[in-house]
Amino acid sequence: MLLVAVLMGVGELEETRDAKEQAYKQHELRTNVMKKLEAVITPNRKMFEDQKSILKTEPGQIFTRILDATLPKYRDIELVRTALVFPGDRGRLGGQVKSDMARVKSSFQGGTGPMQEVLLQVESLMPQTMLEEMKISRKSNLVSKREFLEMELTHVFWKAVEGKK
Amino acid sequence: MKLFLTALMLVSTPTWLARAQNASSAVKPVESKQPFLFIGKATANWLPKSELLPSAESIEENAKRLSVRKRNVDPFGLSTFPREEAEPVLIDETSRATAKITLNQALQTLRLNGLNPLQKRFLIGGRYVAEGDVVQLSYKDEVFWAKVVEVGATQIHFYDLQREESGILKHDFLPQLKITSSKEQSSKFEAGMTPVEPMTPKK
Repeated sequence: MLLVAVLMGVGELEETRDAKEQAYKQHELRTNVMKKLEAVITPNRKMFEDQKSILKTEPGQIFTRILDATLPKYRDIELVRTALVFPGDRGRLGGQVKSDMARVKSSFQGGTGPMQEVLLQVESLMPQTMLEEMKISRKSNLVSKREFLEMELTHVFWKAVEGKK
Repeated sequence: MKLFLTALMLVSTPTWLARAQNASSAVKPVESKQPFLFIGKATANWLPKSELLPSAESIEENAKRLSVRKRNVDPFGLSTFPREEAEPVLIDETSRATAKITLNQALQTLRLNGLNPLQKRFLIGGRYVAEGDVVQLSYKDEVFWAKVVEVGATQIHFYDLQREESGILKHDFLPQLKITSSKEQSSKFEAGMTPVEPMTPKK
């Protein structure tokens, strides 16, 4: 009777030991994975903070300032802004996602060269932007007979709201 | 020996001077301090403080790869960078030299006192003028010989025989009746009409 009880006790102890060993191994495995992941993430932590600081800026304001600083470098015949609108609706892209975003519609008259340079400037300084729509039409001035391009753009800017995770 | 050294110095001194002059007069490559076309993270204080944003130099480097920098004409057939010289020269073909005093100006000084459309003649002062007559006009030291070409209900056509110039004198002696189509007239009565069902023949 005593032998049976001892054997049963040993069996239970072995089961407990196996379970704990299993848990320990899993813990070790998780710790190793976490260490590896941390090693990858740590150098990028600064970049995440940078990205957050960009996403927290008011995109409409930065977009306007970039245009205000860049367009005076071109003559009116090269590129001139004709309209700047901040629509309230989310548009085609924004309607598909729940993320915070802003939209800007802008129109320009001029040539493709200055326009491409301005777009490079905007997209370099605002990596959170996406060109939603671009419409180019060739127009002619009735009086001077000068031909030019009319470009209508719609940009989407992704945003991060303060305190939102 | 001393003489040899002196001679050597005399010979070599101009060479050194020339080299020194060349060195001083050599044009140093002037670093072009052309301002950047683009704005970078260091050139605008209103940009967010982020290391992710590129510098003006790196954007300038990227711009060199833009397709518009390598082509003169865009897909729309216009200059990629529009210039004033590329504008077409404006030639106004409709403009022409205008005579200082025209027959029309002279005709406007006439005062019509009456008009007979049936007999195709009109009254200037106390004189009747009919179609085919020639009226002599004097206006600003210029003499016109205006032939009456047509006497119309609203205007009289003249033609200057010497100047080969035509002119028009409008008048309002006849009431201007508005010509309207019969359809317009009939449509006025449509509002007062009521549809009537067709009569069915009695059997």
